[in-house]
Amino acid sequence: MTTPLDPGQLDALVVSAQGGDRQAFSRVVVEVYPQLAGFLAFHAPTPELMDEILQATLVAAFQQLSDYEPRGTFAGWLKGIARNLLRRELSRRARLQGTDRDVIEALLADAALQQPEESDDEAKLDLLTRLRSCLEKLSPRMRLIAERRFVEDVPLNILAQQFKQTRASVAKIIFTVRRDLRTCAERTPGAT
Amino acid sequence: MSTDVNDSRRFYELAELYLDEELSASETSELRALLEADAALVQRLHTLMRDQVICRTALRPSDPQAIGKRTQRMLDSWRPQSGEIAAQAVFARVDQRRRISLVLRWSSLAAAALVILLVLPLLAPLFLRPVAQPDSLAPTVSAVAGDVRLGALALTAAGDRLGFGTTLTIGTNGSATLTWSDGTRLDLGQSSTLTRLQAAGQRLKLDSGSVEVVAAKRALDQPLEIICPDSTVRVVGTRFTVLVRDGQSEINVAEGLVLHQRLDDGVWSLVGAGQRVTTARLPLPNPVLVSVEHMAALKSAIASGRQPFASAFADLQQEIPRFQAEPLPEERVIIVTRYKGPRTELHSRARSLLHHLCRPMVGLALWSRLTDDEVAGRAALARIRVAMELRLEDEEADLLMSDMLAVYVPQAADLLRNQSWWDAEDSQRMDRWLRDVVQPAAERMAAARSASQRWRGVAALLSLYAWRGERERIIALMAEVRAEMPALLSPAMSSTLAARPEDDTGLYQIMAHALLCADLARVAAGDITPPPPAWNTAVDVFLQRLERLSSPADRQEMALGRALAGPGPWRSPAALPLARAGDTIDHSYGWYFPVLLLLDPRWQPFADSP
Repeated sequence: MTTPLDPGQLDALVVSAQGGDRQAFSRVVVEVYPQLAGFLAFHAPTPELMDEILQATLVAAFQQLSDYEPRGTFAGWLKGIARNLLRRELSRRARLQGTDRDVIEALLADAALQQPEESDDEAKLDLLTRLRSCLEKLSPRMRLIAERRFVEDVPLNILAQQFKQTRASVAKIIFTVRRDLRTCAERTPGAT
Repeated sequence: MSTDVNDSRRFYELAELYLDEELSASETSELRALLEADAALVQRLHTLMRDQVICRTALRPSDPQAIGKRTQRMLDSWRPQSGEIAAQAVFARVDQRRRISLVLRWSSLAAAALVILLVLPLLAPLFLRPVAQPDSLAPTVSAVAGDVRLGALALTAAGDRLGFGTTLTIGTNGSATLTWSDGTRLDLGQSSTLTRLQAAGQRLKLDSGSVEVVAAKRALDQPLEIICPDSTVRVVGTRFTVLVRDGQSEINVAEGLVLHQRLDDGVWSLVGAGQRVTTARLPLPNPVLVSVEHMAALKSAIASGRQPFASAFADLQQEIPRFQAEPLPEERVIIVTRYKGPRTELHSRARSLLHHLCRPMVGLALWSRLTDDEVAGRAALARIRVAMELRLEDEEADLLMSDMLAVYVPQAADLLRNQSWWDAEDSQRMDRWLRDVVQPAAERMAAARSASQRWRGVAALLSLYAWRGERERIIALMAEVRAEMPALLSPAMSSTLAARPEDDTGLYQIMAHALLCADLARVAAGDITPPPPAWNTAVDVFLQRLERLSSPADRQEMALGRALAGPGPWRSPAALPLARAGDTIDHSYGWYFPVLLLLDPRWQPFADSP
């Protein structure tokens, strides 16, 4: 494990990366990845779009690295790129028409665009931390389902087979688990 | 608004399927209709998705190493000359279903272009092409039929290439062929899943189905490997088939040799032409000592004048008349006193007598096989029969039984047992002799505390297991020997001997018998598992000792040097000149005519493997 860097140290690495030090850029990515993922987790409307934007942000950051001015704001700069990419993509999706899937994506994109802009603060990252603690409070069966669905990405069809239930029943359970986890995390500020 | 419980469940089911991208066309329409009819459901789906993203992000363990590696991959793909970066190399997608495959320009328009590219995969099958950019050694999908997928892309025509990390999936009615520029060809059968992994050579993971491979000759450091769930097959030029069914592999070799490793116990073995191997049943050539294919290769090498085979054959030829003239011993009871006891001359006499029986016996049997000389073969058989009638008595009877009769008699018999004139009664006689006479003596030796004695006994047991075709017992026993080696061939012992090589009496004995065990395990069970590092250290010490000896005429040590020149991975290249120099030796542990019996001409490609 590495010790988290302060903004000044991060900038020093970014400057090295701007000078062509690729290892420095790798280190920068490792450092900012959790913050970027945490940010997108609260803004991207689907897992698939979160992955896409996360990757696209890092590609764009690498390509535009020379534009960054080291003022201790690299994480914010990166989130700015992510936010722009996400908005453009959501706007594009909101205009989609044609297939059934296009319409569904458009409806979801529109719903995401209508969400009020939430502040990007430490509380969000705390919530993610608390959510991990809340997993421990689930019953063993619920916890197993949560791990399979959220950590291992096991599809609904497979989960239904594994737990010998109908897809609809398992889907309802997953919904409940998500809701309970979120409620738990929001109810217990300060818990770790 | 859909408040009914069943409707609600159905909605959640559709939502989860949407998340999985597993909605059918009718289900997609159903979900669309629900959403368009009820704005609250749109919000509910949005919340569900958001919660999924948050839970997934929160609960997945962060892996800085993996992030670092993926970043490195992106940086490695950067092309400074053109200012381009391969977007597909950036980050391995968690969701493998939709991927970006175009190259982004290094420009201010990159971000905008990227967004467009992110969306296109949803619309155009073109962008379902695998993430990995094919490297210069990537094979081409040269033929497709039926249901074939390259990553997520349905292939309808040949021409695509299989990059690192890309999976080729063949449906129940499909087939495909991969070809490499060197002529290597791999045919995939129906219901096969094959992934190309990063490696110096060509490494292909076969999860299910079957492949038939015709491998062109390859450099040793760039083998073609098929990784099965339970085994690995490695080749440098041959033709073979691999089938994986229910996680278990089966390999059929049509030409040449392949290296096969069983993952359960790490045992490496050779699979020759005409042999089939599963992890439950490894191949056993019959006859054991020189299989039909080995003999064909040996004859070919001799006929073409290839060294050292041609000169070893000439040496044998010169000796045949003398072997045929050698009288059979008349006595049947041999007294084997203690070697360093008061009547040591009896020990030496017994050893000499057995040597004069066994060397012609093996030599004539080998000559018979090489030249189809039945007369020589029958002369060898006469000696085998006498050997089985001998009774060894006194203190070191077990030792000489294990050292000589237990290994040489089955060797000679094995060379002959498939000949048309071989009498089935002789096989039965051999079975009885091994069971009643050899095995008890060998087991007593194998139970001894001294490694020198124990490994003599083990070698004798390996010989009789080989005759019986008990391959798994050979592999298990050899694994025990390997496990014992580090303690016996310790660095401390080696360094002591290196300092005062003239004091060596134990190292030679230990190594000679360990090597005999390894050789027997290889020829009889195909076990070519590498030795522990302690072995290599000890070999170096031993060879240094040979170099420092004033008289190179120490024949026993020459014999070991010669044996060390056998095939890898136990082979020491430094010992090869010793082998060539001392081929007419009077006595050795385990092998007469090792150049012909141990230096399999087919082994050359594997000299340094695995």
